[in-house]
Amino acid sequence: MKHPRNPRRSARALLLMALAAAAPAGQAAQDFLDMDLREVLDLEITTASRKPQSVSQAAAAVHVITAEDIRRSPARTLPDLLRTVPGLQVASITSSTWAISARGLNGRSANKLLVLIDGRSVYSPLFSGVNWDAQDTALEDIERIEVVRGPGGTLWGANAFHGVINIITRSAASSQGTQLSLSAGNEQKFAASLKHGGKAGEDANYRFYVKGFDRDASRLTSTGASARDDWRAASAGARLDFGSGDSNAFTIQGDYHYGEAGEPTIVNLLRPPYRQYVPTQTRYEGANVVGRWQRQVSESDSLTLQVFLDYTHRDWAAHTRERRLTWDVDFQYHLRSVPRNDLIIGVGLRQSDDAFAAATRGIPSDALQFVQGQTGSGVQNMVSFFAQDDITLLPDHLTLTLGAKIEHLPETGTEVSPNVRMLWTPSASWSFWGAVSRAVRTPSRVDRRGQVVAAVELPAGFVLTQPEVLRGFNQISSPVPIVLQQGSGHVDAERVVAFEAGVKHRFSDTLSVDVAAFRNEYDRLRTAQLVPPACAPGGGIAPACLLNSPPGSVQYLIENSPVGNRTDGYGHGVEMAIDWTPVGPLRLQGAVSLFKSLTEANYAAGEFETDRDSGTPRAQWSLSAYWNAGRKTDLMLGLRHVDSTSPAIGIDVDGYTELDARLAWRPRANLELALHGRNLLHSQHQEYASELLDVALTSVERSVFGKVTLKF
Amino acid sequence: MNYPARLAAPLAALLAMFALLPMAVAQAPGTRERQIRAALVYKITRFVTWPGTVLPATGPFTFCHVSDDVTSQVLAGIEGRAIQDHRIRMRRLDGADSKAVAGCNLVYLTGTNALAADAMAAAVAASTLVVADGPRLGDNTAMVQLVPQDNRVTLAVDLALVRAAQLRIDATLLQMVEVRQ
Repeated sequence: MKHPRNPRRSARALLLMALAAAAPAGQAAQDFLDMDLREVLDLEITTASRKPQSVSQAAAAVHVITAEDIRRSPARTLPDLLRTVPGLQVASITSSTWAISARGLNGRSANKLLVLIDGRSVYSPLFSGVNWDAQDTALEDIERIEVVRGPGGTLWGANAFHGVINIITRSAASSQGTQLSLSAGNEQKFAASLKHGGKAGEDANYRFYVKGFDRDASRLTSTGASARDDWRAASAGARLDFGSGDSNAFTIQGDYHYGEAGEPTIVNLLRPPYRQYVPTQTRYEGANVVGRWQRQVSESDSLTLQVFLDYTHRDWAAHTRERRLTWDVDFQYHLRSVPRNDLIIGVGLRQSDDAFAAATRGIPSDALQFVQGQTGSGVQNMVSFFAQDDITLLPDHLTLTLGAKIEHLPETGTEVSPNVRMLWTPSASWSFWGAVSRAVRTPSRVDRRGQVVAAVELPAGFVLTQPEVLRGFNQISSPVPIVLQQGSGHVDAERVVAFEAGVKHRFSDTLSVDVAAFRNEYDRLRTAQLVPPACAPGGGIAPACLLNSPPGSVQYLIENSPVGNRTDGYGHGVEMAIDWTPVGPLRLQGAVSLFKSLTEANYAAGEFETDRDSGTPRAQWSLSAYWNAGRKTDLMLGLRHVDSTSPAIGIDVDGYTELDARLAWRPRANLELALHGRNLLHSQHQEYASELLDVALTSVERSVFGKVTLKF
Repeated sequence: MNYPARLAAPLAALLAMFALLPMAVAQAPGTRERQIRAALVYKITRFVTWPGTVLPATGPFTFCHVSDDVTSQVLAGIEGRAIQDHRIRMRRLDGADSKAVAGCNLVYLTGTNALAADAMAAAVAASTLVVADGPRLGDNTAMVQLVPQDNRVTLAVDLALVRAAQLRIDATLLQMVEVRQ
């Protein structure tokens, strides 16, 4: 009778604090002895040497989702997996788009969170956010997901402003054998995945996967009709790991994906009906290849060299058509030969080359593109350097961490992100930590050389008839429509100084608690400014130009708001996670996040902030129960609550509580039958709205599906 | 945008990187695995209760092992640590007969080392936890077996043998391992 390695391990799972820092043999042995049993059971035997660190030994707010958590979860997308992470806000906008942020300032174009998949940054330089639909890694191949809230800028780069999500896939050695999964249900209509791993010689292992799915559309909140945002995608990938003994490890891996997702778009027009509901199709594809070399240079030192190429293409109807090619080289050296010091230094180079065009497929030919000024191509280069040293002040008790990252972009100059951290572990069961760090968000492509059409304001007296259409801003009355556009001016790097503190305590082998508190002080967040609109054609400042022009000659007004960095503010909150095994087969995990933020531009000068502080719930909590009865059966019940938000102007979304469940039965060691349920308490509920008002409001429906997994 | 030209530089970097392959220097394989195995053996002792008669409140914990030099070196890192407030005293055994295992609270057998039937009977009688990490050699050869699975090391517990030795294993541990009745 085989039993999976262990139940949920997240609270005690490994943390890979560095991209791929290595540990000398003697030190690693002591590290292993200081981990708890769940962590040791989770260690890979032949993984490339990395710097293993227990969550309880990390001077940061860290949450780990393990492979076992993923296997037992009813979630089938990365965003859904992230919903129960304390301090993270996840909200669905359409079936394939989400607003995801850590510690606030959330939105469809949330731009303050860095996401890495096996060390490959997947945030889009277009808007500094993440296209979550394209991050379709096979969930079965994920080793763990490490979520670090708070600035992680020192090690990871400019966009780790509010946090880092680090997705690490399994090594080929731990993906041996063949696994076939099939699932079908009402919302997840069909999904299939096949993965296989094997040996390719004495020291080489490989794995590959193919997967695909077809998901049903969500519902329009306004009418209850289908939002026509059904989503189909397929992907394939492979990985080869090879090496020689413990001293060298090489990895080559790559993926390809293609997807099509509907979107209930609201396009802007300069003619009636001015704002029109048009279901559209977004098409996207991408391919990447990553090469990584890790070498144990000596007993104490190691190095990692990583190169990746990433190609993406997105035809985002009414928004933009973007092709992008990024290449990136990272080198890290990990040095532990100096007593009491654990130093990592690194250097990175990146070039991102893009080409833009209007995305006109399926929309009226005269519809305005949401993203403008981007046609043509451009190259972005970045050079970065970092150093971070963990200094042991009192062995086993007190560690000081000093670090800084220096980044240089030709257009914005040099930005420095320092951080200082202190970890005090008075005993094996208590750890206290505190940190002060500074991070920056470097301007996106749109920030620097683009405009965004926020909305078209209706002319006075015009009445919208389509119930799906969001009205827009409607600030002033005008005889002609007004195009609201943001983008002239100059956006510089946004800055935050974060003050964090936390305590982690293990009451016993079965009960542990992790509490973190933070305050983010924002400086120079992006702003736009209200300016008098101009007449088009003809120019001149309204209303004078309207009054002085012959009747009928002015077709619309355009208000091109200059952007800048004139918002200050703060965000603060408390996050708590608890992990308790009251009796052997039952495991409970809970998380509570309380949050408040306030950002203020100089309203007297007509400025307004472009990030919405009201788009983040004040409170959210989750409670998950895992029951492992009789070893052949798993039951998971997960309750989660999210408070109300106001994600876009004029749109308030009620708070909601939802239940997810999974029941699995393994009649044989190689066969699992599972029934998954998501959002079981309500037939449908709305979670969010795009702050751009470019998408009709949709509601997520109750989802039930069955899954068969066969290993052979 | 001329993609072939753009691709040239990163492709060259990739090629250069893997041209470095011959630099690979072999090292004794499996050190990490031995460390993980040793850590596992040490960790499971937290979940085992020995009768007070064989592990008095103030006495040391005698951790015996039959292993090669490399593993012995790894295990040396455990010496001086504590198991349930008992300081660990490490003892490397030359053989695995009943005489050798006398006085051990735990015997860790590596590779193909095994206890003879009489030695196992003596271990059971003395409430000695017998842990083996080599291939499974048959029934009644170990109370806890380390089992490689999916590039990790998992545990299998022979509950009948554990009970016979009057050892108690916490239910928390049993949830994480394979149980052989």
